[in-house]
Amino acid sequence: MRVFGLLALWLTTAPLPAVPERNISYDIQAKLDPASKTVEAQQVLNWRNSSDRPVREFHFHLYLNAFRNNRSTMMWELGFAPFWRDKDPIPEDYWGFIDVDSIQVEADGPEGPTRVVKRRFIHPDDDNAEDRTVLQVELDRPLAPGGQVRFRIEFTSKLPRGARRTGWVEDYYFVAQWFPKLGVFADGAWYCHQYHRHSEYFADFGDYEVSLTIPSDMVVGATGRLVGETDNGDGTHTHQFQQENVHDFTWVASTRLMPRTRKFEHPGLPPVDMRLLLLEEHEHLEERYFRAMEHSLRLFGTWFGPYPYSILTLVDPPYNSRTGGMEYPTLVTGRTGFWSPPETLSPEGVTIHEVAHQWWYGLVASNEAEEAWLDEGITSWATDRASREAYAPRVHVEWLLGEIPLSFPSVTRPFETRNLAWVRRGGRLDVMTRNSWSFRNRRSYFVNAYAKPDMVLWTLERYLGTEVMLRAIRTYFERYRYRHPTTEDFVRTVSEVAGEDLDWFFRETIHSAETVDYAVTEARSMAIPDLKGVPPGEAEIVEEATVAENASNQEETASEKVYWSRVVVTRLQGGRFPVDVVMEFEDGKRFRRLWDGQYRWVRYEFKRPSRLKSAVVDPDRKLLLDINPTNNSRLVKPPASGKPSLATRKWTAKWLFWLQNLMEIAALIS
Amino acid sequence: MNLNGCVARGWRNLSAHKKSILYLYLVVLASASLLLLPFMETFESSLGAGVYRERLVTALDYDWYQLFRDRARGAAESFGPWVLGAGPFLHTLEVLLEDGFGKLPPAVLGAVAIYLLLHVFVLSAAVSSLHLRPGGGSTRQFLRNGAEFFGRFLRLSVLALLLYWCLRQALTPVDGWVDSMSAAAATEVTGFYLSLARYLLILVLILGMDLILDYARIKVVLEDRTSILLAVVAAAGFVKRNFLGATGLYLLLACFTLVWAGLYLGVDTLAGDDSWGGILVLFVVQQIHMLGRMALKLLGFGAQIQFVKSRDPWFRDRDPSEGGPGGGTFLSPRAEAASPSPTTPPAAPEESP
Repeated sequence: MRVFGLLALWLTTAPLPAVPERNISYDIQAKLDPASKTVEAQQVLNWRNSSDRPVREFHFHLYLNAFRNNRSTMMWELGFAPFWRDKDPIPEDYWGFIDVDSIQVEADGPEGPTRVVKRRFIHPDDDNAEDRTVLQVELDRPLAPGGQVRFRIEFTSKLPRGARRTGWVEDYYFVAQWFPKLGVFADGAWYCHQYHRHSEYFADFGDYEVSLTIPSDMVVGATGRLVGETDNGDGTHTHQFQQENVHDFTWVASTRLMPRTRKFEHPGLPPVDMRLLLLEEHEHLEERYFRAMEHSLRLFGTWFGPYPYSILTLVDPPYNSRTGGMEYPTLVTGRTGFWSPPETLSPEGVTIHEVAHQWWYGLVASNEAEEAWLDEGITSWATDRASREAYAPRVHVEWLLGEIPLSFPSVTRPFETRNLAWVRRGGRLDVMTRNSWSFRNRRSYFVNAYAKPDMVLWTLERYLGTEVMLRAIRTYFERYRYRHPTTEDFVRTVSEVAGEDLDWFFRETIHSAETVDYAVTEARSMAIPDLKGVPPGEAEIVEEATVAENASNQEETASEKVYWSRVVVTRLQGGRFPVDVVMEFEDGKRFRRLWDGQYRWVRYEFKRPSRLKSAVVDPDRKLLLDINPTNNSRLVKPPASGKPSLATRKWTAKWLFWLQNLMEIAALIS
Repeated sequence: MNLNGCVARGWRNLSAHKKSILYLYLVVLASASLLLLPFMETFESSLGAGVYRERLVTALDYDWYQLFRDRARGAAESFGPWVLGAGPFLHTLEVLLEDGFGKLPPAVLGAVAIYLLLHVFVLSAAVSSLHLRPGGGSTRQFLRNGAEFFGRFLRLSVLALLLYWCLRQALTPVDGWVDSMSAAAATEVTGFYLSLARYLLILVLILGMDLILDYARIKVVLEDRTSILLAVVAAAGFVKRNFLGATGLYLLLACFTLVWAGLYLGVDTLAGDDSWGGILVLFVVQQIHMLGRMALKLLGFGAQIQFVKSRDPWFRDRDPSEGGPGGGTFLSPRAEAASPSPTTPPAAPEESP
């Protein structure tokens, strides 16, 4: 324990680890042709072999080929129906692809590779020979450790029509996953998975210099900072963007976007230029977009660490573009509708979530294909924390006719338990640590990448306390930014900062597909009757205690009436956690016991001069993962038999009125 | 007679039939109450034996609600935040406009079906009593009237349901068109207004159907029609000939209903409902509202009956308020010619005042 304490002290006082040296850079010159919806580009990619093994094969992501036809792995996983509504037909202009027109290679040293000898599509995750989202390039000679290679690639990207985070709609072009992107070489192998229905991205940090030539009437937004702009005199402009230390580059161009800028400033945090590319129909939401960005930069900067880039661009994507709610380095997309009163938290919710990704997807950058929860889960928890801080309480909103927000101010929705219902519904389908495409179904992916990690982290925060939790997460962020940590890194860091071995906690959460439900299944109290029959005489019978705690549950009393009280707490599901149990008596005395929660049940018995009033398991609701909080308490005095409670009568009266209205409305058509 | 006169006379007529209002109200209360016990049982068990029994008294706990939503079966599946505030009005309207009846739990649908049956009977009794017994009548007479017209009113209701089904089928291409136009639109604003226009169209068509069927019911009673289809045709013709008056009267009565709903919302907001007394007050307020709705419904029929009479020359000449040899009852000339009954002695036009 002392070791953990010292380690925690060291972690909080240690200077920030240095930013690791980058091993990759991209220099891309691209031109958008709106007529053909294509981008033609030349790319120079420099890569240094920072491993200790020679490398002869290189694996490139060609993500856009997921939209080449309906036989790609993504389309198979989508059931050949790329849209949410299966009935929607696939339009002819839907398809998109990326063609690598040429690849040339040159090395820095005389011993390095000089040419490409083989190019072929591989499919490391499945046997789908028709999937072309990973290109393997074999060179004539291996690149030695420490050696540097330069690829000159010419490629053409045909953008799909608004498809899963990328593409075009009308005159809006959101250009993401659009260039040949090298996988990550580590431990002697390439991490370069195919593009799946659920998986997101993983790449090395590098420096990007990108020149974009687009029609002059279009507004442009992109990863990084605009460093130059040239009027080509032919109706196009070339915009030069630059950004160091990011792992992707995405851009957007449209005549419909209106640029707005503001400066984020907060004591102790570096200033950030906030750029909002806003649609005309959402102009009235400008202030709310900016406020959400400001809240995010302030809260996440304070909790986890400063946002290190000088710019953050937020794109307000058009309807039907299917590019909303996504994160890219220094550029995110929001999502909202024109009728979004404040209580809907739209656009705030999505904005905060996507900005939170800047820390976990953008800077920590774990392998999202293999451990999605490390990004989506931590981001979900961070989103809830920030939303609670900035916008609580959140009131319930129903969407009347799917269009009109109808708010219910008396019904508030806690941010902390926002995802509890999902855990209840799908928490037993999978464990959190699986490849994104290996989850049982879409629900399981959502539960295990977003919902369950969110609830796990809230539970962890309640166990550790907010101060320790934030310190742990901040330490994890500072230690692993730009370093692609794994689940084990996360577990180790949190344990170190907490000063205790938390393996048990993560074994029951991250590595378990069990749900958690503790319940008070029995709580009773009765007066001990007068002695009848043969008196025991001198030989005193000692009550056998069922649990050790009962030794202290008996009180000597001069009172004539003594009550025997019994409480049984049961573990109804597989998840095991230590839980507090509080028993309150009618004389006001409360007894708190800690149960390790391991066996199926525990029993507490008391002999006291007062009747037991109630028993509560997990009274402070630390265990937010408990899927059924309604059975966590029990009142000894049962409701009068057969008589419904006040709550039941109240809500029945309201429901009855609803039903009467339903009947009356039905009478309109009969 | 202008519209106000129709309403005033309808009101006077209705005041002699207060029992009809009560019967209509009791039908909606009884039908809804069929599900009361199973609902209460489900609700009560969902609260557990602990703190949620108290927590739910003050507000709808969202954690509890999510659990309830996941586990409730039967009628209780229809419970949600929409039971609050304006929810009962708007959510049920949504069910109608979105044709969401099929998504309701079977138990709720069953109760609605029972209500519709009973409602048809009581309505047939009430409407015919408003016409045949302007001065009021006994419960036995009320039931006898109901029995006499129930079959025809029931056929009208079946026809109405059939028309509603046809309407939804006919609107399927419109739905598809709206969906595809919305999907192809550059902004969600287009889709929003298209969608609203679609719902408005559905509402107008449903209300128009209801308007015509109201007059069809009245024609069945006033003219003792046996053919439902001809009654509907006649009603449609009447509405067409008196379009402004008929729709104006209908909208006027709809406005009364809206005002009544607004009053309810005002009172509902003020009423505290976290004590036994508060819940009792809430229940009483709700039931007074329903009673008022029934009164407005019958007032509508009363006013529409007067409207028909004021626009039909034959009836216009026989003002029931003036009394006469018919004892305040009327049959159409065709009905008189066909089967004069002992309870409705024929009254020659020339004998009328």
